[in-house]
Amino acid sequence: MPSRRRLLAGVGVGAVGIAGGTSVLDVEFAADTVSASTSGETDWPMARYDPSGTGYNPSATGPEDGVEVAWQQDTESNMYGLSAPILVGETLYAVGQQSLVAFERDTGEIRFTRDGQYWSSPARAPARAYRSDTLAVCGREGLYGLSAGGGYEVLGRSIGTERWHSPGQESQRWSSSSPREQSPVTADETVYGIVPNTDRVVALDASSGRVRWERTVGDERSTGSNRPAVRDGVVYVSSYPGDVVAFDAETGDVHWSAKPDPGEETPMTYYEFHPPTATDEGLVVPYRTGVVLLDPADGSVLWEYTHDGNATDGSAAVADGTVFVTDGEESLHAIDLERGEREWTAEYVPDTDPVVADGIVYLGYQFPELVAIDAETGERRWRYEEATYFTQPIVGDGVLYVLTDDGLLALEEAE
Amino acid sequence: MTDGRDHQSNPPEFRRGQRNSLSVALSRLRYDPVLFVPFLLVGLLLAVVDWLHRRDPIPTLERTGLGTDGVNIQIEYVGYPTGIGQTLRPLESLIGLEPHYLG
Repeated sequence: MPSRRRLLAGVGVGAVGIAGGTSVLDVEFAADTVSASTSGETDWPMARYDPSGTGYNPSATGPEDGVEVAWQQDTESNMYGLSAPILVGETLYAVGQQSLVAFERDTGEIRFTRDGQYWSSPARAPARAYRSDTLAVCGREGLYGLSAGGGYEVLGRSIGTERWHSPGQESQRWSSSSPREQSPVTADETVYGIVPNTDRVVALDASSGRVRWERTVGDERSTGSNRPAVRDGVVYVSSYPGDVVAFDAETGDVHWSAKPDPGEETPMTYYEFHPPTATDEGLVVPYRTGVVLLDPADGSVLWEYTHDGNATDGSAAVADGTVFVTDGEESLHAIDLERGEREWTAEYVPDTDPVVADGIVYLGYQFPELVAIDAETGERRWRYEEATYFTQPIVGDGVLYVLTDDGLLALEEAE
Repeated sequence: MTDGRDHQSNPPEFRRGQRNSLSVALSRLRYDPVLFVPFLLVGLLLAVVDWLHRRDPIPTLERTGLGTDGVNIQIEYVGYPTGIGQTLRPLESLIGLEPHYLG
């Protein structure tokens, strides 16, 4: 904590800065009133909708039988990337390669743009110490807490946007590919995320960024930990080298740590796990050639579904007792959550993270095709191809939002 | 077609100039050996940095092999890529705070 003297000095500097800014400088005031009170049932406040990572909002609806453009908002900077936007109240937030952009939900009008090297979807968390929520986002050098109100822009510089910067690793790497880190998840006022380029999971206070606990997943020399899933006070983290660990969300104590054995019938020596989805039945964890359901009590395998595909990415969506997962070669698979048996498959090539709303599965990827598939039958409902590629979509009140190479696109039911 | 004679005549002048500079430098160093010290220090520093790079080319945790679980030693070097050890809060984080948290 800063000393009282530093605090007072900071207040003074801040007050003078703001006062000076309002009087003589070109100051852009962003709405600093985005808070939990404006949140609604159709919000999509983090990458996979909820801390469990289900990718399914039971209250949301999206376009069902055909789509048309409700609005499209192009952005100055490229929105190139795979990270999905989020929806909080009347504001949509999206992370591009160089910026965080906030859009009006109904019109797409840009509320503010703030520069920053953020490489994941943001996640909204209430922050009791602030007038507005915190957006937790993973960047190239760690996890950041940002003001959901955006702070202010004075002469092209952001002030009051960044609240904290959590432990991370300095990185000199530069990549021309899509910015991408594991998106953090939030539960109550705590942010759970993977420190970039490490296999360490951290729990942070959403207001101060204080580290509540920090733990290593699997072998300390390994990397490749995936986005956490949080359910019933337990944080589950899987890793590419085949580890799954359950931590107490409050204390970080390890409930169990497992490294399931793929068995002798397969050439795999370990499961190449993707991010988990936590459900009542257990932990749904896809891997390259299938999906396992793990017992939430000890990590043992309850069932295994093999699709023999080549999925190098993507997590499962779970809605109304059905698991939806892509195999990276030819199909989207619908699997019964309780028994692990196939319900249907539908033609879909990329490996991605499906989302579900009101009986429809929506799939987007860096691919010139956005697809809606009936969750009951696997029948393709519609396809939209008017962009070079898409991110994962999210779904709100009858509208689907997706980032394209140009900016943010809102699609609604075609008349 | 050929101007070989020009090329043959230039190198001796160049070598002569180089020999002169080197001999002047060497004689100055012989005269005042303290001039070696900054070069020695820089050389030692670079040697240490090289040794650190070779010892740990990628800054990750390593086991040291005491017992089956090993003992992990994490070393952070100044001037060497390291992690951020604690949460940082910039001054601008004061903006938007609820008033009673300023007290």
